[in-house]
Amino acid sequence: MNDLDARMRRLFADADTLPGFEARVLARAAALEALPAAGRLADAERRLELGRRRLRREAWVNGAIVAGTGAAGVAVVLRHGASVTNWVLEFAATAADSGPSLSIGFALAVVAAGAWPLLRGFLPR
Amino acid sequence: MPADEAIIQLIQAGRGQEAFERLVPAYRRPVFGLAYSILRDRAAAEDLAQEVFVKLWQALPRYDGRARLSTWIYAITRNAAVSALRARRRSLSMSDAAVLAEVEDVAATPVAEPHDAGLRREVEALPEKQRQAVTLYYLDERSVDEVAEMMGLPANTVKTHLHRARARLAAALGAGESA
Repeated sequence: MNDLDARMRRLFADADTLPGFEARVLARAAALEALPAAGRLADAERRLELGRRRLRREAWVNGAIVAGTGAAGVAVVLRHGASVTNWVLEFAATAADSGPSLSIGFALAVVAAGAWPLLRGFLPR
Repeated sequence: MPADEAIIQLIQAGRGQEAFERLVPAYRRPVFGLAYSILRDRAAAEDLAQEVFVKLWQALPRYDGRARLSTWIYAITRNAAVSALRARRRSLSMSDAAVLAEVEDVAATPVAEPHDAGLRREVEALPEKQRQAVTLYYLDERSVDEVAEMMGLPANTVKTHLHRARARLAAALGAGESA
């Protein structure tokens, strides 16, 4: 094994960076540092503005979903109030006859629909 | 690493330039060695080491001291090296006819055998983790604990990789020399 150790050390003896490596790294870092401060500030502001626009767009979409759902609900009630009442009463009676599974399913569907704007946040964009 | 404490103090004092000037010589060999052990190519490892130091320069103000400085640097180096290796494999797809032709040309050209070419071939033939462990271990005569930190593995796992690699190399070289 000692012979192997010696041969292994010799094998890697010439593996190194070229001369001047550290100077090149420091020069690259200095060049980065020398980027005009105004340019970096503009870059940061541009990213901030993009973030603001994204948040505004998301807020608008969420608002539209809530307003649309509400308006549709109000329209249905105004136009078909009696039918909706009958349908709800019939559904409640059917659910009571069918046992808890239908009621639970309906409750879950309502919760899922209500939570949809929140769930959207976890979906990949 | 003994220089870490001084470097961390400089970072915390907001003296990033001085910290970096100390960090580069202190970590030049480990960063290059780790890149070399993964990429298996000196020039590519040097290019990657340059990129890693530039990343470190940009990330230095965000170093919060939660992880050891060396652990943080090795993690950045490993991630960069693995990404570079993947990119290189994608770009050097062996289905590419031009690459195949080039490889065949090189293979057909008689070249002088480098020093201890047999041993180099055996090291290249080792499984990836074993090859990486022996490279880091012998490159700068590091301890098992240092190699373990660089590879991000437990010391016992590295010991096992080293033991198996050395046994395999000894057997292969013994067989080669007795043949």
